[in-house]
Amino acid sequence: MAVLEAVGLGLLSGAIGTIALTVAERAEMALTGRSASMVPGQVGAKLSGRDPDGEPELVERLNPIVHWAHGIALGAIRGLLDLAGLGALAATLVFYALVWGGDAGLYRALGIAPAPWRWKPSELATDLFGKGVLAIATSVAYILLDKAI
Amino acid sequence: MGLGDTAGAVGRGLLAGAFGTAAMTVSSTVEAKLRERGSSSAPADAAGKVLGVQPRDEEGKARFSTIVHWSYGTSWGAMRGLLHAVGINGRTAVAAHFATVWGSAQVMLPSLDVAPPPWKSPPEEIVIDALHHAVYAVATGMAFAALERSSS
Repeated sequence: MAVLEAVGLGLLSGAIGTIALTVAERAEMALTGRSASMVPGQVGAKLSGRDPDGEPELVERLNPIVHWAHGIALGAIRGLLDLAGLGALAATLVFYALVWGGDAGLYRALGIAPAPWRWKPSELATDLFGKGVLAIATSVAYILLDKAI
Repeated sequence: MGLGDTAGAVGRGLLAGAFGTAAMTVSSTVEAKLRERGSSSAPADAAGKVLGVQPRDEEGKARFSTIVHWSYGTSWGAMRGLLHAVGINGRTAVAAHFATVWGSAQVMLPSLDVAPPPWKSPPEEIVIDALHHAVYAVATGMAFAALERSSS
C-alpha cells in the first residue's frame, strides 16, 4: 500500500511539476526567442522504432504527449525516493540528478544528442534550467501534498 | 455500520463535496484567468442534454452552468461518504474518489458529445482537467476528514 501511495502522490506531483516546467519554458522562450524543443517528440519516435528525421509530423504529434507523460511518470520516482527514506532536500537533489542525468543518457543512447559536454553552453543551460524547474516543482508539490493528505 | 451511520457519512460527504467544489472553482477560475480562456460550458452543455434544458440566453446559460457545477460537485461528495462507510479512508479514499469522478467525466462528456474523447484532446488540456478534479478530490477528502474528527 505504501508503494502505491508514494507512486500515486508522485504522479500527481509530477503533473504539477510538468505544469511548472511548461510555464517556465514558455516564459524562457519568450525571453530568449528560441523555438520549441522537439526532443520529446524525437524520443517518442525513436522509442516506437520510427525515424524522427524522416517523419517530422509524427515527431510534432508525439511531442506534447511525451512531454507530459515523461514529466508525470518521473513523479513516480520522486515518490519512490521518499519511500526509500530520503529527506526532503536529499530526495530533491537526487531526483534532479536522476532526471537530468537519465534524460541526457537517454538522448545519447537514442542518438538524439551527443554527450552533454559536447552541447552548446546555451543548450546545456536551457536543459539544466528546465529539468531543475521540473525536479524542484515536483518535489515541492510532493512534500506539500504529503503533509496535506 | 448501520443505516443511520451510513446516512451520516453521506451527509458529511455532501458537505465536504461542497467544500471540494469551492476549491475546484478557485483553481479553475485562476487557471482560466491566467490562460485567458472563458469559463467552461461543459457543465451546462452536459446537464442540458441529460435534463432536456436549453437556457434562453447567454446569461441564462451562465446561471444554469453555475447551478449544475455546484450541485454536481456537491452530489459527488456522497461518494466520499460511501467510501468511508465501506471502510475506505485517507489517501486511498482520495484516489478512489478522484478516479470515479474524473473517470466518469471522461466517459460521460464524450458520450454526450460535449467534449472530445481523451485520445483526441491535447495532452495539456487533459492534465489541467485532471488536476482540477484532483483539487476537488483532495479538498473534499480534507474537509471530510475534518468533519469526521469533529463529529466523533
